[in-house]
Amino acid sequence: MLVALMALALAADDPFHVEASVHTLPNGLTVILSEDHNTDNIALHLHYGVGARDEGPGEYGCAHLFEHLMFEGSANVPTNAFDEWLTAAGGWNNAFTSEDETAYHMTFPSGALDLALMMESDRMGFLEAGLDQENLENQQKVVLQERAEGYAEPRGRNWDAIALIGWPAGHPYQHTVIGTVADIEGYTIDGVVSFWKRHYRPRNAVLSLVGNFETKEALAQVEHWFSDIPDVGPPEARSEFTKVGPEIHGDHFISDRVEDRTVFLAWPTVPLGHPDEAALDVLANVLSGGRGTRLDDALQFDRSIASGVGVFQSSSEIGGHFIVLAIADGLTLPKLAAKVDKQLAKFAKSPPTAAEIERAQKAERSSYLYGLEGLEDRAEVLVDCQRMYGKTDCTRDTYARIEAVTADDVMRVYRTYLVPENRVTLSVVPVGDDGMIEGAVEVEIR
Amino acid sequence: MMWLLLPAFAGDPEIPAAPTDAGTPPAEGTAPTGPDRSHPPDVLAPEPLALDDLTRHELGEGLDAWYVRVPRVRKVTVDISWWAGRVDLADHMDPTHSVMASTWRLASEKYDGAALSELQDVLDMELWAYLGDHRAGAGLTIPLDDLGKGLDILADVVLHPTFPGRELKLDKEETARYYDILGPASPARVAGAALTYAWNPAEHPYGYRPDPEGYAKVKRGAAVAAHQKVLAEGPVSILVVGDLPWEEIEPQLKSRFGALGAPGERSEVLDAPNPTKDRVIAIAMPDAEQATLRLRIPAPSRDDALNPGMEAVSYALGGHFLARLNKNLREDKGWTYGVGAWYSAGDKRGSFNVSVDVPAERFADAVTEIEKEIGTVVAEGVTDEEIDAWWRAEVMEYNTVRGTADDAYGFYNGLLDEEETVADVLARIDAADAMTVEASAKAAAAILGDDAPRVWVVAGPKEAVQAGLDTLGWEAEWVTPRDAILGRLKGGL
Repeated sequence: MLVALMALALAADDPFHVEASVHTLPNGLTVILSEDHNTDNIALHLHYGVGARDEGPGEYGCAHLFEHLMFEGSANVPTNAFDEWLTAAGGWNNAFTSEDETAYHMTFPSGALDLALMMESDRMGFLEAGLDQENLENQQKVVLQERAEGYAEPRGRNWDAIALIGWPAGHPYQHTVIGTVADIEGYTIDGVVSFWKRHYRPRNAVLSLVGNFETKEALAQVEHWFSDIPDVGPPEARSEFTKVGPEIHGDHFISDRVEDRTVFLAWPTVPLGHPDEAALDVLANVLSGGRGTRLDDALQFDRSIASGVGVFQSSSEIGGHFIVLAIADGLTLPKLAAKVDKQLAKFAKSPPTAAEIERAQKAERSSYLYGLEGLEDRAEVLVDCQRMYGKTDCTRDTYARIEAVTADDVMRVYRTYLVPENRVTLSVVPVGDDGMIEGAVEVEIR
Repeated sequence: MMWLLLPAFAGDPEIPAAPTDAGTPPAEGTAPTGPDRSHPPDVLAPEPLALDDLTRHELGEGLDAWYVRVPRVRKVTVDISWWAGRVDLADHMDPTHSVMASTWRLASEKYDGAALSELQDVLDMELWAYLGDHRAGAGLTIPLDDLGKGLDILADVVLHPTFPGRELKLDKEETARYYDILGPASPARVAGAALTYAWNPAEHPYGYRPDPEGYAKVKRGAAVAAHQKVLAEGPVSILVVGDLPWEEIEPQLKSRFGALGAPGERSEVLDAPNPTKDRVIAIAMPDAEQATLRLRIPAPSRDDALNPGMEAVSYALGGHFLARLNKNLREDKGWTYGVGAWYSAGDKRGSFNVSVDVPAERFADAVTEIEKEIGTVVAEGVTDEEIDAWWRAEVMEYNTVRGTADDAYGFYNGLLDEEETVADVLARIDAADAMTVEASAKAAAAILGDDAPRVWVVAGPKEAVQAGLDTLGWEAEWVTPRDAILGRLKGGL
């Protein structure tokens, strides 16, 4: 009894603690429930373990396409009814796709929980009824327009270019999440149905609910609505391509509708959960986290060499990059890249101080805690923790790894990963400008 | 449509979960049966939470505090407001106050820029300062454990900013870069700026035009003087939102900010003219493939009798994924990734707005379809189902107030700004509940009819835009992207 009370008291003082329970339905669906009675609303987050990395030739962009098709109707939810019914209940929804996953999320008043579960389960089990040629063609047009609107804004193509040059040929991340125009125009209804059958199944999904419900009743509701979704077994094995290395080095450029020049320097590093990830995160924060950090001061705040600087460790499930970007304040990119290199070389001789490490750690802590505040963010974090680490409160462990990082760790990962022979660069220059790094090869984004 | 006000939860803020009418597990020993999917399950009506109101505490002459305790939010927000803004402090074209506002929070006597930046990371704190048309302010959000440290920092920033030359230089460079490079390259920014400046004539205090050359010339001494002027101007309020008792925060405010404030009244919102005729502004974007469209129509102020009807109309036209404009232009036609439409109501006037990007060759078609959808609500109003959905969405949004520190601050800051109470917000939700199809039609007809002046802005490739203008029979004022960003428009209202 005393131990239990102490545990409760500790949990109450632990800002990372989120009370949640995990359940597995007979069909294999993982369900996470976390009550929050500070609101009358409920957030639902449904992850499918399918992203751009699961697409083969002819399917590029398909996971993202489903972000649209999943709202076009299923066996018992007519075309457009998903949005109509949820909106009529006062709720809203959205979805996103990455290299590793597709996620559907909605927030609604607690009295609409049955409706939300009915619709979400219907499209998990019975979407095929809504996959017809008319819906496909319509959403192909919308996706093409989504792509065009994104590319129309300055810097709208940068990250797709990084994806193309940052991974070696054949790597599952080496195509864009949204696909090329030819990819999008080339989908067939048979191909789309096949993609759905292979990936959208209970054993490839994790569902979370956070908000105003009682766990016992909510679990019964989830069991009820997902009980007729058959267990069709595990999804096909995912690609685990891990070969990264010198073959992706080199200098590249794109000409875009921009008025200034940006250089990206990227090194292949580690995937999510790798023992070195925490030290790379701290290194990124030490180099660039606002006034008083190394690259920001040297390039931007103390000397106006760059108008913007960013450094981060970008980790996905089967790979990652350490990325430095700098926006030139008038310089050509060879000169700007040389300035960045000079600062990185200085860093090699001047390890981070204890204060720099602490600041970087605390910045990460704020970010993790912020992610647990709102219902929607919390629902997503619970799912990500469960699927990546098998426990819903992984943020405490993740931050503990950050908190354990030392200056020696930071210097070790710096020396291990930020090596010239592995580096790839992307110059982004205005159309007609020749301020890119010499010898850079143009990246073709079709 | 009926709903009941929940009993107050002041003593126990936990909200009972909604009862359910599905999901009862099968009794032991019986075969499980599948759910009935023949119709959507019933949905219980949402109920607005019983939220506490702000309470007012006088701290001195011309200085008061507005406080509310919000259970379980992670951070405390303290926001100090001077009830006078740019239109009260300066000639409306004087860039000095903009420079002061941009650099106010960047360095102070005890903390240089690097120290303030580091402290925000280490203490999980966010600092801000701003200057609006009628209100200036500075504040912070921080976990309760470090509130004292945070208030010390805030006090130094609020009272003793240093405006160092290096920060001013960086700010001027960044501002110039926006007006010269970043702004003109973005179709969305160009179109948005042109619409804003078309709405507010240059000679009106709300029609402040950017002055990059003047901005670059502002000296440190002028920024210091502008800051002193803000501190001396009018009454001051301190808003406190967080999970702490008033008795804990009161002495901390008094000891640090007790000398602030001066007798006087809040700055008054000014009358501003609405457009009286249609206007079309076109911006040629080199190499663009899309047409970026913006529409604004005058609409009633917040307290106008037509306001609830216009809110309903706005929700039906653009408030969600399947709102009429989205259904038409995105789902049925596939011309856009999404349409935004919203009604913005101020103290003296309001506006109805539409925002959409389409392939350039669809520009005229999109305008025609937007006008068609507006014409339908003018003729028929919105449906009972749309009104019910709008009311539910309003309740759900209201019910997010206790979700995060940011949500709570946003809600209560709105109350303070508008001099409203929770009851006023609930009254608006009641008005949504009582809305009728007829009332929505009356509002739509009065506000959005053919005779209502429209300001259209289109940014895109010149040839395709001109073709669209020809199809529509429109004469446009052509401006460059940079002139649009700087508000250098030729025509007037």
